[in-house]
Amino acid sequence: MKKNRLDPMKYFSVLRIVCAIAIALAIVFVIIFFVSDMPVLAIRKLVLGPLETKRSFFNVLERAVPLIFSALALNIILRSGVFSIAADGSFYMGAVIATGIAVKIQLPNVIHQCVLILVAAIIGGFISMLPIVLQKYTRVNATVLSIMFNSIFFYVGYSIVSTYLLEKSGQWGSPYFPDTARLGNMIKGTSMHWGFVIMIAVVVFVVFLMEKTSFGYKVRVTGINSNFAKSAGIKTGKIILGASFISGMVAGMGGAIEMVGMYKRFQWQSSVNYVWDGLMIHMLANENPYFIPLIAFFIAYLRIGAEIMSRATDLDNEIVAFLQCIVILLVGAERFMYFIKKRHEQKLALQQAEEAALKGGA
Amino acid sequence: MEPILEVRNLTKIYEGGVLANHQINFSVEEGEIHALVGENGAGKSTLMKMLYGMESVTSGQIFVRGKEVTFHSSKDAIAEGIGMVHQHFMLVDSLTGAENMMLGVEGTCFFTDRKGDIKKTQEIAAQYNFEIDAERRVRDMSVGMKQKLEILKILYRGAKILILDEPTAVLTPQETEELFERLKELKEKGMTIIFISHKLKEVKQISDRITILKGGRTGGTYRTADVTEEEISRLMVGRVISFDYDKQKLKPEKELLRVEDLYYKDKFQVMKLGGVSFTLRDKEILGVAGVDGNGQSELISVITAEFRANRGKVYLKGKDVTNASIGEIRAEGLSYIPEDRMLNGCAAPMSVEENMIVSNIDSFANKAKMVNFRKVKEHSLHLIQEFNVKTASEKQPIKSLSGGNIQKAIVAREFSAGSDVLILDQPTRGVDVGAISFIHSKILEMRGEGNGILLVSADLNELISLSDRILVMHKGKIVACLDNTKEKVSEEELGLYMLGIKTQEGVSA
Repeated sequence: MKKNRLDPMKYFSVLRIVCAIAIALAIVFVIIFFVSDMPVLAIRKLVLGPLETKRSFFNVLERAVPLIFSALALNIILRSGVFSIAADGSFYMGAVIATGIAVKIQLPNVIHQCVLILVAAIIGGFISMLPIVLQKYTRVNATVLSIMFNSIFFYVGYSIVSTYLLEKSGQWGSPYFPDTARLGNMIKGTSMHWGFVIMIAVVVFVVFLMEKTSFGYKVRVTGINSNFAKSAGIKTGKIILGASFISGMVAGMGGAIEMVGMYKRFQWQSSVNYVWDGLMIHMLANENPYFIPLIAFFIAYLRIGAEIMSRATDLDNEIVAFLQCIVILLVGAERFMYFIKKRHEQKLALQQAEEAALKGGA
Repeated sequence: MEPILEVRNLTKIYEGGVLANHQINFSVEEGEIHALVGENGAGKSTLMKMLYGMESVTSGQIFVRGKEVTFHSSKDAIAEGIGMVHQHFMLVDSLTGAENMMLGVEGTCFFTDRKGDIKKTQEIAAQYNFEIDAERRVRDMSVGMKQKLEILKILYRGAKILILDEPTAVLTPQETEELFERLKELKEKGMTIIFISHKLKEVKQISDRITILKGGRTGGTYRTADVTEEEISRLMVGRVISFDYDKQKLKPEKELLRVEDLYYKDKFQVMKLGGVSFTLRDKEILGVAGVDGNGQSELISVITAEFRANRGKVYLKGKDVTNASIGEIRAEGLSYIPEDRMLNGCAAPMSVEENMIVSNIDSFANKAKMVNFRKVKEHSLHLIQEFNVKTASEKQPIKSLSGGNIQKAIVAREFSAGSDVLILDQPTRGVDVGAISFIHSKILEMRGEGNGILLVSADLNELISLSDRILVMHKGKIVACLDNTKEKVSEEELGLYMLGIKTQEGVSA
């Protein structure tokens, strides 16, 4: 009896997201019908395109990898109650560091990758700590600082590549990575790389860290009520600093893995902005690291679907941005489907009042 | 005669499922002063906010002069002739009285007519016999004048029904007297006044009829002349509570907490603690009394390491902890129940279980910092049972519990931490009667087990019935240390010390 009472609300947030996605898809389908000459083909390519060939299906998986790294990095820092998006700088610098180690240092296979990922992670961690440390001493808001640092580190990274790592001839970019530095192909006939496996390990690590350890618990308490955390004896400053370091490590690692996994040479001439995708996924996952891979795959699936659609039809793949916007708007809007929750809460409150009255009477 | 304002079966459920008003029925006659009384959290303010269109109505009806109305905002309520003076004034501090009067009045020009406004304000003030300085800025006005300005503001907007939310809470006795004079005059002019208060003496003095609210329900409407203060109080609280406990006679043996010559200045350089010294021993409850704002909360904050003392020392079990961190002090054996349980006593959206392990989380983790959730569950189930916390399960978010049960969960956490020194800041504020007596019995149990307890409370009854000794603070100093073991201290005597009328010479505690 007690369990039944709670159940409907348990899946409320999942229900909300599913409904938001359904509504967004419906709207996008309607638009496609209006603007396209071949709407049925377009919709089929958008929805089923990624499943049509082996290559495109694995494209979805590899596209999800950087999204998941970004979202996990944000999950850790945002849940400590600090809105810092320094993960972007860590991600870009991670890729730059990985490039540097890949082309400048010669090491045997396996060790080479391990070293470049590890160094990228550590430097990424320090980069993410910067806004937090500076906030402590300057009292400038960490959010503002993190956004500024993202610009700074983009140009720092860019100039490192331009000055030290540039291939003199041809297009702007670094020399090709040696095979010892690349994360080799996992499955023949696709561009799937071993970074996928590392990603799964990191997901498990973050879920574990945030949900099962005392550190994760302290991060969550600090994020929810830092006054309470302080008066319970938790050193909130240290906890936030620790969270920002781990968050930056995850982001830096993600940058390195994306670079040596997906590319043959460094060619990121503009800032990659995975952090915004990460933020969106973190939000859609309802701050729950368990759901992050799922949502990231969904976003990646849509994007690959849209690319296939745009190749096959007259539609632009930007339509996916439209779909994302609607989903985020609906999920972010507290009032969306709120009436269901409200009705339930009201019923429960009246029921409790009646029970209390009965008890009082008896 | 038809009532000017009537409420039928009004129910309000806030977001998050808090039932603030349940099937409220009451009516107000034209030209009367109708008092609305009830304890904190009885739902008085919610009811008034609904009548003034500030909160939506969940279900039920409101009638004004026999006509059903629905308010979408306070603008609708003003149009029906209802005006409200809030407990916290809604005035713009940097503007003058006249400017505040005219703010948002329909039909005024885009440009302000300074002289005209002042003249108009003075006219209205004269009409109702209110003395206000229309040219003075609000921030320079006394509280009494601000309140009069608020009342004039709503009268100018054509209000015939005035709702006053605890109008006397911030006034001095003289100002209160004057306000009552004015209110009586307004009543003679045919205004209807709804007067919210929990000061029964004032209610008895000014109102014609009284409606009692209790736990979000109406407890009946009475003619003021027909009921005594005691009866009102009984109807408000439900039953008369007496805290008469059989206390064991215990002999303290060692000192646990010693505070020496503590000084603390706040950020405005105001001296909040001016040389406080006392000793807390084992097996004793040391009460701290004082009018709010006389340094009690600063004393607690310094002892629990939230604030740093400017001068002086704090010794916990003989160890100097003046500059130790909160974590170190807790590890040394001090537990603390804060005054505001939602602010720093719990993490509202987290589960009861997670809230019960916060201060000793590391004792549930192994060397790899992995938390053993089975142990956590056992621990919290045990505490829920021992401390009688009413919750559907240990996984419920703590905010879904009632105030009393949240407090019991917090008490459970702090009392089970194994500390020798317990600092309790208003442990039973805003808690229902059942929970109060339960928490009191637990406090006495902790005393029996040999703990030293520092109890700060605004409830003198609580202090007198629990404490072995009572310290009285006045203006940051300890003005008395009264022995409460052989003979109970009287409330009157405490009051004299609290107001600074009496002081003990050479207090040593």
